[in-house]
This record gives sequence, C-alpha cells and structure tokens, in this order.
Amino acid sequence: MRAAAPVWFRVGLVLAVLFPAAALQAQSPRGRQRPRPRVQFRLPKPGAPLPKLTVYDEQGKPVPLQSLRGSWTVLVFGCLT
Amino acid sequence: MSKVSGLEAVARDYRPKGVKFYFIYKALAHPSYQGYVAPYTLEERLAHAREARRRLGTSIPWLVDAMDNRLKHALGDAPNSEFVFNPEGKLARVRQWSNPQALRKDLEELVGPVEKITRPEDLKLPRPAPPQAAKRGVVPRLEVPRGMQPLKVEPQLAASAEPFYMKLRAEAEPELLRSGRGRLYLGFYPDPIYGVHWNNLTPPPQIVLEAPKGMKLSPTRLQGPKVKEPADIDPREFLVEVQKSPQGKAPLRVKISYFACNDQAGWCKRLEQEYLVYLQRDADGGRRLGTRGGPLAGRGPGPRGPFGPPRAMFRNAIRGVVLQVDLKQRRLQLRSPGGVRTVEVATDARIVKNGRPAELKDIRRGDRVLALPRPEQSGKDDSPAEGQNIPRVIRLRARSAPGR
Repeated sequence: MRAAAPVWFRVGLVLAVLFPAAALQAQSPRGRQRPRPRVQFRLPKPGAPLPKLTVYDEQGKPVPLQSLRGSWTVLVFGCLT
Repeated sequence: MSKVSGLEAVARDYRPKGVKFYFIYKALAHPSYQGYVAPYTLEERLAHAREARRRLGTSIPWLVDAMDNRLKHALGDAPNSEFVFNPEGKLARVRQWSNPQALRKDLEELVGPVEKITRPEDLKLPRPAPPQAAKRGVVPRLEVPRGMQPLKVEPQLAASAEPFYMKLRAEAEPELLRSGRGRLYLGFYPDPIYGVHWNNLTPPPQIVLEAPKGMKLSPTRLQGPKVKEPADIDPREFLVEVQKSPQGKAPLRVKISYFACNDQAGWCKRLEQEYLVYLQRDADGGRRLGTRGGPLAGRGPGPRGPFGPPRAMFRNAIRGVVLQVDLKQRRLQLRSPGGVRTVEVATDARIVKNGRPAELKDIRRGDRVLALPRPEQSGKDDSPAEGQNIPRVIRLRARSAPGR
C-alpha cells in the first residue's frame, strides 16, 4: 500500500495550481523590479509601413517620414516629463 | 542609469553601421512634472524639443510630432514606445516601452553585432537642472479629488498678442463628465520655457468664468492668493462646482488677468488672456503625477529624468498612516509599507494638511502622510538625542483619513 503524500506537499501542490502566474511574477527579477504596464496600447504590427505623415525638426522644418526610408531607422517616443 | 543614456550608447555603436536614430517629441505624459507644462503652439513644442536636447545632452536628433499628435495616434499612443523600421520602410520591431538593452539585441539580429559595446555610464551625459525662474513651494498645492480627467482647453491665441505665459490645465471629476455635476479643476502654471514667474508685488491674478446656456458654475469669480514672497512659480489652483444640462456641449469661457515677469529679459507685464474649456476628456492630456490621491502632485524635480514614469521622484520619502502622535517629542509613529516606523518632525519642518499650512498638532491618528527626511543628517547638534536611526523630516504633507 502506498503512503499518502505529506500535508505540506499537498498544500503546496494546491497553491501552485491556483497561483502559478502570481508565483512566477513574484519570483522573476523583472516582476520585482517593475510592475507590468497597466495599459495595453494598440501598437502597429511588424510589417506595417512607415506612416505617410510629416513631422518637424527642431527648427520647425517639415520632415516627411517617408524620407527616412533607405536605412534602418529607430524611432523612440519621449518628452520632457 | 536612465533610458536616454542607454539609447545614446546604442546609437553610438550602430550609427557607423548606417542605422538612424530619432526621438519623437510628443504630448507631455506628465504635465507639470519638473514644472514643464503642455505647449499650446508648434513653436512652443519645438522649444520643448530643444530644451529636451539641452536637458538630456542627447546627440540623437529630435523630431517633433504635429500639434494634433497624428504620429502618436498612428503608432499606438504609447508614451515611450520604440520602433525599428527596415530600409524599405516596414516595421521590423516594436516595443511598448523603450528598452535599450532589448533594442541592442534587436539590432544585433537585424544589422549585426558591433565590435565594442559602449556602456551608458561611459557617456557621462550632462544633466543640467530644469529652469526655475523663481522660488517653488511658496503657495500650498490644492488637494484634488481622485481620478481627475484632463479636459480639452482652447487658448484664444488669436486674441492675444503675447504668448500664454501662465498656462491653464483643466481637469474634471469623472462624475462631472458622466452626469454633468461635479468639480472642475483649474490650474494656471508658469511656463518655464518662457522663464516667467508670478509678480506678487502686484494684485493677485483674477479669473472670471462665463458659463454657457444650461451650465451653472460656482464660484464664477476667482482670485489667486496674496503671497508674501515677491515672486514664485507655483501654480494658482482652483476647484469650481459645475452643474450642466445633459444637452449642453458648449464650452465655458475662462478669462484671466495677471502680472508676470521675466527677470532675464527684464520685463514685467500685465496680461489678459482667455480660454475655452470643453467638458470633454482630452485623450492627449496626460496625467499629472500625484492626482490619484498622492500628495505633492507634480511638485519638484526628480532624479530619474524625463523618460518613463519618474517613480523615484521621492526616493527618500516615507509614506504611511499615522498610528500615534507624540507632540512633546515631535514624533510620529507611522504604519508604512515597510512596517511600523517612527519619524521625528523637525521644529522648522514645513507641514501642510489638506493643502493648507498646518502644525504638528493638526496631524491626527489615521491621517495619511508623506514625510521627506532631511537630505543628509547634518552635525551632532541637529541629530535627535536618542534613536539616531530615527529620520528627522523637514517636510510633511498630510491628508485627512476618509470620512473625516
């Protein structure tokens, strides 16, 4: 006849089944460092084209985004705050 | 190390491989943080971008989104997103929050590895302080209700020959937008781009509100506080009760007359300017820090810098709920996230409760407080007689417990 699993093991098993995501989040260094962003934005998918829009350089000269084609380009949004 | 240094390091390594890098200047994520307020014109937004380059010491050029925020909307509206486009102009990588380390891995895959990796700390980017035309922290800040929503504001630019030196930020209680009854927040903030301050040697700013048909406002005339300091850059803030009919869509008119000075340019002026305020949420209005119930909303510079939410703004602040007040020893026992702790309130500490100057005896059990310790515990004379590990706080902001 097989011996029953110890109580601590059964409790642990139940907790692991009920809260796996929370446990992983709490244990991961990323989870400790920074909470996941609450807002999910509708970002364009890979393969989407550069928008056909015009922005400005610091002097106010219009810069069509299409003019950035021809080389790898990194765009990062930011502001003073 | 902030993200900007990380991005600059990646740019330094990948520019020789033909990769172009641009920051896109967009609507402010946290208006009033470090004093910066939302620009009203493209020229002002261009000035923000130049200021961002100065403040961050970036070599990556800034491109500026149009005032209708069309690029921000087209690329998903995230405040600090990151995109890599290939030479054909197709999106190769996208990230909701910029991450220089992940970007470097992306470029290693897409363009190839570099021989020598630049570390962000190698760059030693300068970090000049934000401009401050006069004293801050002179006028106590208003305690605003939770969940305030930014409203669409139209400065009447054509009617004013001068720039809007003091910029209006309008917010509404969610209840006001839902049912037409609730409180409206009006805050007039000196714009640091213009290097201006309030001139307190003259009468305080006067504000007149004109309600459209079907809307009631109370009060309709507002006046800024009389301030002893001759100059300051604190906002002038007001709460107004609003009641409007469900059909009413017309804006209310806000007229302000004020005196402003620019010491560097050597002028002081009296100005009269007008705004239309719509009771409609401004999706690009951002969120003032601290408006979800935290005290010290949008006050003071933080160490983290302009990219990403500056959560470390009050790195040394102690937050908690008051368990006990010892007036004799000027000590507060707080239940804070790290457990129960005691702080000593310096005799010269600045205490504000519910937005008004207060004294230690006004602090009650159950109040929520945010205490700022003295930056460095100075000499022996300044230290508490016992319990050297008890932080001595020099600023204390408290809020009544709910329902009191």
